[in-house]
Amino acid sequence: MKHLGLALLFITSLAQAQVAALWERARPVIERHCVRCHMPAKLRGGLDLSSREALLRGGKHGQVVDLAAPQSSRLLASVRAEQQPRMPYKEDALGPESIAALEAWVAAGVPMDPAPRLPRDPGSVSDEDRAFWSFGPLRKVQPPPDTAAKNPVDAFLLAELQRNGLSFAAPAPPTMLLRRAHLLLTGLPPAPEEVLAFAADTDAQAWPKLIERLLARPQFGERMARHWLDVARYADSNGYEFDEERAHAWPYRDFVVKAFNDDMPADQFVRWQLAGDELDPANRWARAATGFLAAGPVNSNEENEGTRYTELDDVLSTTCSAFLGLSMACARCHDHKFDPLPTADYYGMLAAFVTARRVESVFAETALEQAHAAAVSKHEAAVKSQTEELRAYLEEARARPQNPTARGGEELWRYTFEEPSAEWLLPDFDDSGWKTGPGGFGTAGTPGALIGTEWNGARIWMRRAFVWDGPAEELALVAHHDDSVHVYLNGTLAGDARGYSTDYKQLSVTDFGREKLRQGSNVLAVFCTQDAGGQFIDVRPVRHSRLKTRSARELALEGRATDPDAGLSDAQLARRDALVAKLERTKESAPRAPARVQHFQDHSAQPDKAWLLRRGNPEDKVEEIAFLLPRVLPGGGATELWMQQQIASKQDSRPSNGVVAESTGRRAAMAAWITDTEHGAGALLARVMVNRVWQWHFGVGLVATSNDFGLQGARPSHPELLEWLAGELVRSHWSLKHIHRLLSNSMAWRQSGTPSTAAAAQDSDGSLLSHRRLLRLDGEALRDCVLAVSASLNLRMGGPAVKPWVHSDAIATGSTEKWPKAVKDGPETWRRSVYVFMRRSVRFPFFECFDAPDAQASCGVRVPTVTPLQSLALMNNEFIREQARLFARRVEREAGADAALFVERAFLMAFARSPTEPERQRALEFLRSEGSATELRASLCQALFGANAFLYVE
Amino acid sequence: MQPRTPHDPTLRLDANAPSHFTPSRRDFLSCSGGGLGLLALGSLLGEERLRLATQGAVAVPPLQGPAKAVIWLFLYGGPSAMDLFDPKPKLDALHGKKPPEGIKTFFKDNGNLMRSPYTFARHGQCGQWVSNKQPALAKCVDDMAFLKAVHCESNNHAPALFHLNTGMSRVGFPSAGSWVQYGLGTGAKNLPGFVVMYDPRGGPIGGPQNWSSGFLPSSLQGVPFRSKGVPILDLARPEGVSAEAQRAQLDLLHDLNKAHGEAHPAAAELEARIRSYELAYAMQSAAPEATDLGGESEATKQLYGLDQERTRTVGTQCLVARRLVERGVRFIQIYSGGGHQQDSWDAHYGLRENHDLHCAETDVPFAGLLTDLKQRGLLDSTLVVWGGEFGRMPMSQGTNGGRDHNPDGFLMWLAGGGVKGGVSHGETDDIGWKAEEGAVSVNDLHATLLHCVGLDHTKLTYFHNGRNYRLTDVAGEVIRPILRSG
Repeated sequence: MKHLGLALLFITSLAQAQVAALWERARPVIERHCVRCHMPAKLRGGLDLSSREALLRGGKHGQVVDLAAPQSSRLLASVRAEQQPRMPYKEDALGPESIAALEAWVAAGVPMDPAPRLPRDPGSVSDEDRAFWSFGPLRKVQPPPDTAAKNPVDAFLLAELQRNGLSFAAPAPPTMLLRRAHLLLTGLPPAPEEVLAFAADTDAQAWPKLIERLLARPQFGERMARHWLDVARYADSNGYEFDEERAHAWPYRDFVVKAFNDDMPADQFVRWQLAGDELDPANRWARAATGFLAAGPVNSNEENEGTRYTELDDVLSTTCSAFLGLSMACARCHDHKFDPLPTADYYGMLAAFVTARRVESVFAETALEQAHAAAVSKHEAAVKSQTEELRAYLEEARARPQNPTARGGEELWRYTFEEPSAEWLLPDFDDSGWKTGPGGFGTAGTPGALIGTEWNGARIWMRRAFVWDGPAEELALVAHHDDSVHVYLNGTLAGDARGYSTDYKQLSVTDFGREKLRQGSNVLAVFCTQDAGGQFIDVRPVRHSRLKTRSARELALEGRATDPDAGLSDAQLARRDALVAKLERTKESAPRAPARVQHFQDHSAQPDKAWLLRRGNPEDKVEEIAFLLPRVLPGGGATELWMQQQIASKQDSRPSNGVVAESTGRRAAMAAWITDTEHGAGALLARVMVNRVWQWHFGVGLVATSNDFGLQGARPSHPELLEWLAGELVRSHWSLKHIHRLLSNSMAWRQSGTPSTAAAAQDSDGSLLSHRRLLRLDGEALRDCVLAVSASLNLRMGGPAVKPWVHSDAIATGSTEKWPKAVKDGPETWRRSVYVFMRRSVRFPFFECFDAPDAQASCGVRVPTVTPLQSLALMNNEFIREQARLFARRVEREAGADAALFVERAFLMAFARSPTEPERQRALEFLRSEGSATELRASLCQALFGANAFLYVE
Repeated sequence: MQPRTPHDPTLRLDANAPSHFTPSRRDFLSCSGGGLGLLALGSLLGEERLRLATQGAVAVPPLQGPAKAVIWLFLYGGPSAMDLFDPKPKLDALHGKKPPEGIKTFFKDNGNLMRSPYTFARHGQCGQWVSNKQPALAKCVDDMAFLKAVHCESNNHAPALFHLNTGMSRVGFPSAGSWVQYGLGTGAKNLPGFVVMYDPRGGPIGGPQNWSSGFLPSSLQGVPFRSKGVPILDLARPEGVSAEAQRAQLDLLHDLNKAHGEAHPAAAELEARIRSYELAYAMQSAAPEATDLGGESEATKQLYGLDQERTRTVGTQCLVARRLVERGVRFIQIYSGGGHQQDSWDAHYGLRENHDLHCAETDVPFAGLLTDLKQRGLLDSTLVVWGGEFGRMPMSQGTNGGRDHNPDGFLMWLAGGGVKGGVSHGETDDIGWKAEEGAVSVNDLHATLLHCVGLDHTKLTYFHNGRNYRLTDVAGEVIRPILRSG
C-alpha cells in the first residue's frame, strides 16, 4: 500500500491530462504487442492487462510492476531483454520509442484509464466499441455546485482548477478585453472612439451589452465563416492541373456567413449542407448550402471511375470530419486501423452520395427567375428574326453583285513540302529558303476548298506573320483542314484538330498558346498531313466576338479575292454591315443572367449502384452494397427507418414540396440521423460543434483534435464541461450564438494571459484555463485588421470573390497564369479576406505565409508557425507598405502634425490602447531620427503592424 | 539615432536545432510543466511523439545518412528513356509496325512503333549507353545509378507530378522536400531549407501544389527561388526604404516587442517572433549572396554552361543549387521545362525537336553540376536525382512523330549521396513499354531517398486525420543494390 500511495502522490503532482497523455502513448504499444496473450481470454503467465488493478496484481511469477522502483519493474526488464523470456514473446523486439513510452508510463504509476482493448475482428463493431466516450448518447451533466462561479462554464473549469490548487488569473484590463472581444467575434479591431467610450462606460452591464452588439454585427458571421470554411475545405477553383475557376461557388460562402449571422440553428445548418436541395428545394439558400458537398478538389481532365471515387471520398471524408469528428477516409482501403469504422461502413455511407453530381442552378428568388426567363425568350426571338433578315439579304445581294470588278487580294504564306529542321515552328526561324504562295493549299475538288496554291503531297509546313492589336482573349482561329493539323503561335501549340473538315470551323485556342500572343507582329506556323481523298489547309486568326454575327468561312475569306462578298457594291456592303451591326447590338443586349450557384444534387430518384471495393480499387468490386450509416453510432446500421422518417416528416410539414422528384432522399435521411440526438448521431454532432466554437474562442478545443473524436484523437481536457455544453447547445435549440454568449461572458474568457506563479508551473500552456492563451491572428484577420486600421477596408458583403494584387512571381509558379497580373489595389479589392478568391493552385501568398490551409481537405486546426518569411512579408510586402502609408495619413488627418498626438493616436488605433511611457518615448525618438517625416511616420505605422501587440490577441 | 549592430541570429537560434521553423513550443511546455523534464520528453520523441503534439511538429533526431542534401533535377513533362539512356534495338527492327495490343495512352491515338532518332554509344568504365544528344552527361555515367524500370500510377501530368513529389496522386499531401526538412531540419540559418527553382517559361502543371507541405506545418513548404534578381518573394525592401531606415525600423520594432514580451514571460512564441525578424533581416543579405555568382571563376561558369545562351538558365540554377548546398540547404528542386507542350519535356508533337531542344539546354549544366560537386568533395554528401513524372511510349502518337506519356516503365538516375556509381537496376521489356524486372515504385524511390539522408521511411511519420502518415504511405522498399552500404 505504501508503494501505491507513493504512486498516487506522483500522479496528483502531475496534471490529470498529462497522466492521461502518458497512458495514451503507452496504450498503442500494449494493445499492439501485449494484449493478445495477456487478457482474460488467454492469461499467459497468469498476467491480466485488462485493468490497472489486475496489472498490479501481477502474474504467476509475481509482480510485474514495482511502483517503488519503477525502472526495475519486471515488465520493463522483459521488454528491454534484461530478463528472459524477452517480451513480446517470439516477436520483434520493441523499438526504443516504444520502450521509452512504457518507461514513462510505469514511472507515472501505470494509469490505465481507459482500459486497453483487444484488436477488433475484421468488419465488426461491438458494444465495447460503442462505449467509447464520444460515440454514446448525451449524458445529463450538472455544473459543480460548490464553486463561486455564476456561469456554468466557469463552474466546471474552476472545479478542475481547484482540484489542482489553482484558480483563474485576474481579469484582463477593460481595453485589452475590448480588443479581444472585437477580434475574436468580428475579426476586426475596435475603432478608437469605441475604445474611449468603453473605457468611460460605468454601466455594470457594459460587458454583456458589448457582446450582444458584437454578436449582432454582420462582421460576426464573416469571422465565423472564415473558421468554418477551413473545415469545409472551401475554394473557388477545382484544383489539380487546370484548376478551373468556380465562378458560382460563392453562394455557399455567403450561405455560411448568413447562417452564422442569422443564428440558424446548428442542426439545420448541418442538415442543409448535406441535403438542402432535398429538404427545401425551392429555397435558394438551401440549395446553396449543399455547396459544402461540392466544395472539394476535382481532377477535371480525367474522367473515370477512379477520379469519381476520389471525388466521392472527399465528400464523405469531409462530411465525417466536419460533423462527426471521424476520420472516415482511413476506411477506404481497409477497416480503420484504430476506430470502429469498417470498410463496409465506409462504402455503405458513401451510397448516400453516389447518385449526386455537382450541378449549377439559378441563384435568385423565384419572381426574379421568372422575369429573367421571359426576358430571355423575348431576346432570343429578336436574335432569330435579325439573323434571318441578314441571311436573306446576303443571299439576295450575292445573287446580284453590283460591283463589276471584284476587289480583294491574296494572303501570302511561306511553305515547304520537305521536312524542315526542328526549329521550324519557332518565331525567329529563318524561312527565307521556303516557297511563297497565296493561302488555301490543296487540290481542286476538295469539298468547300478555294485553292490559292496547289498542294498534293503528304505533308505541308507553312508560316505567316500577322498583326494583332486586340485583347488576347479575343483571339480565335478559324481553319479548314483536310486532314489533321497543328497550329503553332510564336512557337507554342495553339490549336490542333484531327481528321478533316468540309468547311471553315473554329479551332479552340489553347491557354498556353493564347499566352504567347503579342501585340503587333506574331508568327503562325502550321503543319498539315494528308491521309487520303481530297486535301486542303487554310488557317486564319480572327476576332472572337465577330463570330457572333458572321460565319467562320466569311471571316476566313474576308478581304481576299475569294470572299463571297467581293463582288458587292459599296452600297450593298454598307447595308450588309448595318444589318450585322444591328444583330451584334441585339446579341450584346442579352438580359444579364442572374447569379448561379454550384451545388450538389441527385440526378435521379433511383439510386445509382453502390459498390463495396476491395482495397479502394474501383476495378475490384466485391459486391453491391446497401445504404448504411456507421454502425458504431446510435441509430447506425440499416437505414430504412431513417429513409421513412425523412419522407414522413417532409410530407407532414411541406406537402407541396415533398421529396424532390429526382432525388433519392438518402442525404436527407443522413441529415435526419446526424442531427437526431435521441436516436441518431446528434450527440456526437453537438459535441463536435460546441468544441469548434470553443476552439474559435480559446485557440485549442476542449478536444484538441477538433476533426478527430476517434480513438487516435485527443481526449477532452474537460469531459464534463464538453458534455454539458453539447447538451446546452441542444437545449437552446441549437443556437450557436447562445454558446458564443456563454463563453464570451465567462470569467475564463475574460481573464488575463498572465499566469500566477503556481499556474506558470502547473499549467504553463493554459490547458486548464488558469490563464488565457495568447492567440496569433491568422493571415486573413491580419490583413483585415491592417485594412481596418488604415481606414481602407471596404465592408461590402457577399457576391463573387475578388482578386487583389499578388506579386507576379507568385503567379508564375504554375504552368499557366492563374491570377491576373498588374492588378491595382483599391476599394474594390480591399474587401474582407473571406471574400478573397481562393485558388487552389495559387494560394494568396499572404494567407499562405501565415498558415492558411490549402483547401485540399478539411482542416480543423491550423498549425501556427513562426517563420522569417512572415517577417519578410511584414517588412517588405508592397501591400503592407502601402497600407502603412495610408495608416500614417489617416493618423495625420485625425491627430494633426504634432508628433506626440500622432504617436498617441497611432497606438490607439493599432493596439486599442495608449502607448506606455517607454513606448511613447521610443516612438518619439524614432520620429526624430534623420529622414523624411512622411517616410518615418509610415515606417512607425508599419512597425506597429509588425508588432506582437498587433499580431496577437492578448 | 545610430543604427545598431545587427542582432546576431547565431546567438539566438541554435544551428543544430532540429528544424528551421520555430514551432509553437506550447507542446513542449505542456509536458515539461508537469514535472517531467525535457530529458524525459526527449526519450519519448519517436513513433508516438506527435500524439503529444497534435499541432506542433517535433522533428526526429537525424540519423547518420551519407547525404546531407538532395538536388532533384525534375524533367517536367516526362523525358524519354529509349531516346536518352536506354536504347531498344527491337524498336529499330519493329519501326513502323503496329504496337502490341492493350497499350493505354493519354491521347488514345496510338501510332506505329517508332525507333529513336538518335544514335547511341557505350560510355565510361561501366559501358552505359548514352544517346548522342548528351555528350557531357556521357562522361559522368560512372557516378550514376540508373533505375531503368520506375513506374507510377497515372499517365496524367498533375496526378503523376503529385505522385512523384508527395507519394500520392491526389492533392493535399506533403512533398518529399517537406518531409526531408521535417526530418532533418535545415543547416542553413538564413535561408529556407527547401528551395524550388523553376523554368522561366513557366512552372510545372499544378504549380505550388507540387512543393506543398500538405498537412505538415506550412513553414516546411518549398520556397520558390529565382536565379536572377531578387531570389525570394518580399525579400527586397519596399521602394524608398533604405537599408539604414529599415534597420532603424527593426530596432524600434525590437524594442516594442521586447517591452511587450516582458508582460508575457511564458510565451516562447513571442520570443521566436522577435528572432524571426532578425533572421529575415539576415536573409535579405544571405539569399542574394547565395545567388550572386560574381565570386565564381570563369572556369566554373563555363563548366555549367553559363557562357552559352542555351545553357545559361539551367546552368545558373545548377550553380546556385551547389552554392545552396554549401550553405546548408537540405532540399533543392530544379524544374527543367515549364509551361506546356514543347516548352516542357512533354514530347507529344515531334519527339526529336522536343528532346533536341531540352537536351541542348540541360546536358552541359547537369554534367557540370555532377563534375563540380565531385571535384569539391560534395558529391558523396549530396544526392542528385534526375527524372520526370513519367516516361514516354515506344510508338508514335498518331503520325506526328511524338511520344505519349508512359507511366509503366521509365528511367531515373541517382548520383552521389551514398549511391553506387556505374550501376543499373531493372529493365523494361524490349520495346521500353513496361517495367519487367527490378521494378521500382515511387514509394521505393522515396524510401531510398530518405534512406540516403539517414531517415527511415517507416519511422518518419506525422499524425494527421486519425493516423500516422508517411511519405511512403504503407509501402516502399529501399533499393539496396544501388547503395554503397548495400
